[in-house]
Amino acid sequence: MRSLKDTRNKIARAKVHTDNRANQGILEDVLERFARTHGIQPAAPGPNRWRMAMKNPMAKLAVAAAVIVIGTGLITIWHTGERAAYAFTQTVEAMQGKRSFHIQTYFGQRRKDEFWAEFDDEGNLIRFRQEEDGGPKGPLITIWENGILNRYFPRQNLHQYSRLPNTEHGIEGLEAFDPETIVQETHALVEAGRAVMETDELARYAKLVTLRVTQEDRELRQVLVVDPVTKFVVRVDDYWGTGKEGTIHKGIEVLEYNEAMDPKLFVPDFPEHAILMDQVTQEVGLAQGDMTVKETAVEAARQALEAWAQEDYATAGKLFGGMPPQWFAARDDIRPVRVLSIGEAESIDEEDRPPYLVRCQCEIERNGRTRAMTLGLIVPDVDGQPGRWHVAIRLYDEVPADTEDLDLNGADLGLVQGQLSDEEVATAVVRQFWESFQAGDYEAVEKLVPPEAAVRVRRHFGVIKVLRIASVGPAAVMPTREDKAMVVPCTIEYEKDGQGGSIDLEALIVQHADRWVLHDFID
Amino acid sequence: MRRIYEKYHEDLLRLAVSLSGQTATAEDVVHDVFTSFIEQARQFRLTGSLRAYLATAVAHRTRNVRRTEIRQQRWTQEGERPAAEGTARPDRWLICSEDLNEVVGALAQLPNEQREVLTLRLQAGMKFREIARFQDVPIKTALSRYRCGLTKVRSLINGEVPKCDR
Repeated sequence: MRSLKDTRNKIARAKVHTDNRANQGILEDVLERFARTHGIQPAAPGPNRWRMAMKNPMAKLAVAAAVIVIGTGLITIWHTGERAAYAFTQTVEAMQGKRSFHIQTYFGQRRKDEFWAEFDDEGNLIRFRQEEDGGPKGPLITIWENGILNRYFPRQNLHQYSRLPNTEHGIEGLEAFDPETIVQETHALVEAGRAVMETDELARYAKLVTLRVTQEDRELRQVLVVDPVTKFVVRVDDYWGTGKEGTIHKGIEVLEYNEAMDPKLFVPDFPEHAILMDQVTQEVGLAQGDMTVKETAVEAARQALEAWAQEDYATAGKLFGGMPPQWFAARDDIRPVRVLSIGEAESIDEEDRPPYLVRCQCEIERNGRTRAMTLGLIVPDVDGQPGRWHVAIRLYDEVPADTEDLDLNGADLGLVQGQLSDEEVATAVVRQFWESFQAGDYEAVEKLVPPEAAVRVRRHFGVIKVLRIASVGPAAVMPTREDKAMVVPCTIEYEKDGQGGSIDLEALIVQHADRWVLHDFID
Repeated sequence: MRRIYEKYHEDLLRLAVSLSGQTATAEDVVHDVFTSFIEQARQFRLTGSLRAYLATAVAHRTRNVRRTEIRQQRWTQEGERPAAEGTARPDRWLICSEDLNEVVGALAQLPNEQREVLTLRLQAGMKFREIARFQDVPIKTALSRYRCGLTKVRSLINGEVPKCDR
């Protein structure tokens, strides 16, 4: 029996033999190509004379010596040639000359966002367009010019029209994708010794320079591809993480630099019947005045719901950030008929900063029945209208329907909470759901969902094969009428009809007594 | 050029046959690597070891050949090799030693990534960092592929091993 060391030696020392005649023929072929490529004429023009000459040992030696001398000379030239002189600082400088770019972003292998941006001679942004994949919330088109931001949400047919000045910090969303910013940040990190940059050996056919940047403290590997002629960076790929969770890849490909762009790209040519959320031609939201931000949030929520309950759509529309009456008409099934209570402003992040969430108990009427419902209103500031705050329904799409009606009939469904926290048990339900699905254990899958949802699950997911559970969690609390509920985001990679794909979902996990079940997927 | 050729051609052939499992493919790959090397010489900039550079070129080209083979297999009937591939060439350049036959047979049963790490490390003498860069993976992944591949080869060699150049 061989040890690992023996195996290693066997692989390393295993020999090949070459046939001498074949060897000589191939060498001659290679040398002939070498001479032809570099304009060196063989000792005689015809192959026969060449071979005859090569029969002379002295001639052979002389040619070999010449080849070696020329070869050495060429290698020296390569080392000192123009391409060897490339330095990253040239790219940093060249990028300052960019006047426009058109880029495509990637997440993993999936195309994500597309940007077109134009800049003035000082490098200030003139206008941009972004077409976003948008994930589970649907696609989004953003156009910005002269401090006016137009955002169109095709799935909701909503056109948000607001003011957004281009501050010195740049426009949020564009900054992270601007190749110039990326190059500057990378250069600063390398200069500060916080990142290491290596230049790949140029392959003989390569027309581009590849730079590899490693930031150990952030587990980030970055690959920049530079055009050595223009010195512009043409591709940036970020790889995060190296552990068991796998690597996250985000990429940017520059499709065009400094090309004239079609002006129509920057015209907000959205459908005429789109719902216009106008924050430009009118003052919207509630003025903060002497109130604190939290007090303003509570007051804005109260006034907005009361106006809606009274069907005062002019007032409600402004408090809802400029929504027109048709927006409320589409939500008549959740129109509050009476406001029961307004909660306190809650922080939605750990740093206790706006926007805050206000939970409100309301009575609504649906199908002739009066029901109580909790609405979660988020209260952000109005873009371009300092000191004013408007409300938006945070949980409208996410309010579970009639969860109290779920009858488990003593069935052994879901997971028992045990010693787990709400977040832990909700995440465990979702993970177990997908793991069972991946393993083809549909019986286990159906034990995690209510009986009526099992059919829906089979219909939606029965046609796919789960390849990988890319992420699950973290879970977040969802206020509902009576039950405790959690929302757990998850990303699944799947295969359908031979095509791979990835989907982001939010699972709604509801508590029934000491058990938690997967009630539904929100998107 | 002659010196470069004479110094490296056998090592590159061994590497190519270990990566491809086919002597005919290995011969073509190494011949192509040398001819490309001189044809593209003016665009070439050597920043590291020439040996590692040539080994990487062999590995790249072998990958391409394998991809082409897979595509060809898809075009032909299931399991049927393209006609030219099985034809024995009379002017054989490369002859495997018994040891290499055994090693190539074992390596052929590894996943591509593990086979590349093992051969580039043990036969081309490349550093793990260079291999990781070549495979575009973290160095830990390259190390793990190496350990896993080596253990498998040991098991295969201790058991029954298919022969090279089937």
